[in-house]
Amino acid sequence: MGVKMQQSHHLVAVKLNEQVGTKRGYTFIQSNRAWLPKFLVLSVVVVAFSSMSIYNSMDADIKVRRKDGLVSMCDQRARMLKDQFSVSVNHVHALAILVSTFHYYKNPSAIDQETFAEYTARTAFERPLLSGVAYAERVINSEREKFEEQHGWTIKTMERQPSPVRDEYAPVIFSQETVSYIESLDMMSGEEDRENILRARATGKAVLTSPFRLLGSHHLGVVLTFPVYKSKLPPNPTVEERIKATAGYLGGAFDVESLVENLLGQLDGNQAILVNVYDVTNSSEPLVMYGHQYQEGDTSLLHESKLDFGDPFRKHQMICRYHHKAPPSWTALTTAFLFFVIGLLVGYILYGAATHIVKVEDGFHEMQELKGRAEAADVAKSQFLATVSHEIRTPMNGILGMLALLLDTELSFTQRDYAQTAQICGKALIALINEVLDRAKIEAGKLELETVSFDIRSILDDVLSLFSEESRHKGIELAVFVSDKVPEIVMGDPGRFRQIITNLVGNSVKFTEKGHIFVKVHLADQLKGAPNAHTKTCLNGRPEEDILISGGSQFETLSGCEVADERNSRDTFNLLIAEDLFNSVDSKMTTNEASENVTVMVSVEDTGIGIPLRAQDRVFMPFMQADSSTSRTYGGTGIGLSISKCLVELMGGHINFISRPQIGSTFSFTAVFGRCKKLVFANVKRPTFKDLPSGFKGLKAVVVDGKPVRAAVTRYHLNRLGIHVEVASSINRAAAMCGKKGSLTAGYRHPDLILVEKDTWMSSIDNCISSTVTDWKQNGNLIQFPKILLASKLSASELEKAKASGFADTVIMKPVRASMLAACLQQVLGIGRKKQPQKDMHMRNGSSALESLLYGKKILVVDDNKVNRRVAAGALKKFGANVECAESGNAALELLQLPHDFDACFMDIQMPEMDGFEATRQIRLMESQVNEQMKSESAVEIMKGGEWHTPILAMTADVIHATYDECLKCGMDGYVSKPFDEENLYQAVAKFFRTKPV
Amino acid sequence: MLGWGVEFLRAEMNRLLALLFHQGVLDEQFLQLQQLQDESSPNFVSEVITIYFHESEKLLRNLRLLLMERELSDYKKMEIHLNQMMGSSSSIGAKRVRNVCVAFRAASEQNNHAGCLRALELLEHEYCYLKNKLHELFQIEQQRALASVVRYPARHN
Repeated sequence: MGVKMQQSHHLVAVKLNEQVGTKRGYTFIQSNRAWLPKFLVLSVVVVAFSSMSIYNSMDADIKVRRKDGLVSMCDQRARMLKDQFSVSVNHVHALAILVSTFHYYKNPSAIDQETFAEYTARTAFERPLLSGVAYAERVINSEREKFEEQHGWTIKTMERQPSPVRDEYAPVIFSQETVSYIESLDMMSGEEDRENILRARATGKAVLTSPFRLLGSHHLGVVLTFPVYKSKLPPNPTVEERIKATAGYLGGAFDVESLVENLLGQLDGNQAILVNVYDVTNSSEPLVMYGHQYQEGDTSLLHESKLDFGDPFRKHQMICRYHHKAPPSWTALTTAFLFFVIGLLVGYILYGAATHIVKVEDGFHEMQELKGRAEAADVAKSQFLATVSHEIRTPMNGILGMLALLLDTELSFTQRDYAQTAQICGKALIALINEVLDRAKIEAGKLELETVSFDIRSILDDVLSLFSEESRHKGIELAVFVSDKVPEIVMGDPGRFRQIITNLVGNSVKFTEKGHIFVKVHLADQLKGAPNAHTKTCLNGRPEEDILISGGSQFETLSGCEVADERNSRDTFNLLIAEDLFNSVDSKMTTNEASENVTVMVSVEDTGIGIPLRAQDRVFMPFMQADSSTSRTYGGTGIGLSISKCLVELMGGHINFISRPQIGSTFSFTAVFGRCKKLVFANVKRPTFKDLPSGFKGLKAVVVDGKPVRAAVTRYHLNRLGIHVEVASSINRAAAMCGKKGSLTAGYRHPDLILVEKDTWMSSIDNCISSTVTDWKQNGNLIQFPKILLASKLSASELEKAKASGFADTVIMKPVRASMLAACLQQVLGIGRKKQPQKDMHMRNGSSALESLLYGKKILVVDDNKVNRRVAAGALKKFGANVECAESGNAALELLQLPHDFDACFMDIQMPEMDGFEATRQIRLMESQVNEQMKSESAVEIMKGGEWHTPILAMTADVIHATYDECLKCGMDGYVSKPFDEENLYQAVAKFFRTKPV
Repeated sequence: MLGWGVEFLRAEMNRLLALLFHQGVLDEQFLQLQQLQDESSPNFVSEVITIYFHESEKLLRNLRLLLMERELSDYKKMEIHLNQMMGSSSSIGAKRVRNVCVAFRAASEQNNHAGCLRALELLEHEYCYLKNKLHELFQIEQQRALASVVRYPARHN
């Protein structure tokens, strides 16, 4: 049920996550994503409009400038024309005065045609606009004949016919050479001229004709006429007076067309503009004086300039236009276009950025969701794994239970065999499931390491004993060496430490067929700063030849087989031996006790099949074995190393290995443990520490072994028993040593026992043991030393031989362990036989350990469920505890009113009215109040080491979901899963119950 | 009766237990319970089971009352009863009863009256089955005890 609840919780959590994911974190852009395309279109439109307006404004500017240019050019032209015109008119005026002065006031006339022609020709530059000037005399009809006679020609009309009779005539008498063709022509016969003449003499001013085609040149032109008066006029003459006084008319033809052309030619920019000059006297019908009548050029823009030629009657104007239409303004166009392009780009970039942001954010949200899902899946996976392995354990327990029942029944041999096989398999499966559960716990971060004090050496002994059977069976040497510098007691998690070593050694045992497995433990700092060159000289003070003598094995390792990390192994080991030897006793005292932690380095060296090179990098990955064939050959899931790695990392260390295929592997890891205060570990002796018998202190032993490494291991174990050890590389040497020293030095103590390595013994068997013994006898040492043979594998015949030789009193089968060594020595030496029966029982199995913890303890069980209460009480009673029950939190509170004599309280968490947490809180409150009181009245005898603190353990049905933190928060000391499981109960109880010898 | 040997009775008991395990009526917790029984408390298992039957019958009665009394059942109270039932069932290893309790509780959490009724019936059925079987088991156990007592003097004499 717990599982189901969890899963549903989990689903809810995931859903919540999703909801949160969708709700949160939408930015402005993302929430307005629908507007993005519209924004793009809008920006394009805006940019288009603004670029158009830019174009328009620039264009308008240009137009204004163009217009200004036109106006100024037009005005300039008009002014010039006017100036020139008025200059000409003035000059004609002057001519008129000249004529009147010299022709009329002088008598005889000072001017004749010749003079006039010459004078006018010479002054022609003064009148650039006039093609020519002529003077016509006023001739009244009555005077015509006289006049004709005087001049010798008849008056002719413009068509060069003799003039018909009229009232008046105006024949030309003087003319400039350019217009000499009009001499003798009657000006009054031409329509425009006549009108002009009449108007001129009436006004007395210069008058102009409307434009017409001039005689001779056929150019458009106007004729300017000035009246010439015979006599001086009164100051304000009337028209009649003027007409009467009129003597003649001076006229000049303005060849407007060519002259204007000429004039404009002198000005710059005449190519660009088109000039028309009109006579607009009749405003409805302007007459063209210059330029073309039909429209050409840029009709959209024109400028009119007034022209005043001095004739009030006639009005003229100049109209200027540009020749060409205004060329499209490239600058404006390009500017606008560039602006448009830039605007477009900016808009697009913004749009692109926005869409990109949206996309990225979408992606981000998606990823977040996926991440959430993946994490949820990961958690779910771990939980699933934990749950499934938990669930598998349940039926497995059933299977195992039934198998146990089955084995109790009467079975035939075969049946029993089958059932036992099934049971073994089931146990293996349970072990595997526990590993998987471990792994899942580590992954879920639920694995927490304990910190209790423990003895590294005894743990190694345990591991050694665990594998001793198998190693002996395989005939491989298994040995442990712990440096003296490693503190005896450290703080850490012994179970996990053991698990790591067990795993590594188990692997080594599994993959090693010959040679040795060697576990070395030392401090990590011990190797630091030790120069490699030093090792040679530190070789235990042994001369070089020893190595040569020692059995001829090629490699200086435990078994003589080659190892993967050979050099390092040997060097470090030599260093360790040397250090341990030379600063043996005081080194323990001088080691750096100040530091809080010790970093222990453990290496497990084997001479197995090694790890293939290509598989070496995935050794620590879960479920990866070096080779898929490996699992077929050797079994296993390959999960162990990955768990070990996790555990090592949890202990603050590293794990690594060196492996050479077919030669062996060396796994080494470091782990950080807390240093144990001397005072503390004097008191705290945990039940797991196996006390080694102390009856051997001060004894002296000689170890005869050709291999220094193996000798060192033996010495290490003997040293632990307090036995002083000397090493000899061969029996002869040992005998010599004993003999010499025995005879020569008086103060020398004879060894109490001799341990001989089997290999060394076998190699020296030729030397005839008896002779050795006689040697000793001859030397006068009649003491029969106990002699012990050390062997890892001994065949029956060899055993016989050994016995026959009388050399060995006892054979110790390897692996050597201090405790086993002690037992053998007890047997051999017959000392320290004070065996404590309790201790034996204590070692027998776990439940008795539990019994020793709980025996005689008074325990309160609080549970509302009668059945549960009974079961818990039964379980605890079984271990010798004195159980009392309470069925509610309130009842428990009453029972626990201080002072009480309960040693512990097991509290159910889920109870009606007052649950376990609440009850605990109240109990703790009560206790703290009493403690306060006690402190204040310090005279009062302090109970049970000071303060009231009843250990309270939570009982909970679901372990995975165990609200361990909550338990601790409200003041509980731990929890046990319900229904009780011995191991679990032991672990929980052991934390606060010291073992008391039963 | 006396003719049946102790071994036969033990085998019979194991057979019955195996059946119950196979059916999922019991789980390994029951075995643990049996392990708790020793010389100091020879009737531990039957004692616990009797308490269990007593308690469970009370709970079942209450549950039925709660469901029947009125249309608006007190689901809260029902859940408390069910939790009790579940706890004690898992303590003695009555797996199937416990599983039905889980379903029952789920139904009551959803205030599903019909579901609760169905679950109650199922629960009563399972409970009866368990009770019968355990009674059978205890009978065999008693016979076995008797048989062993009877045979001992015969053997020694």
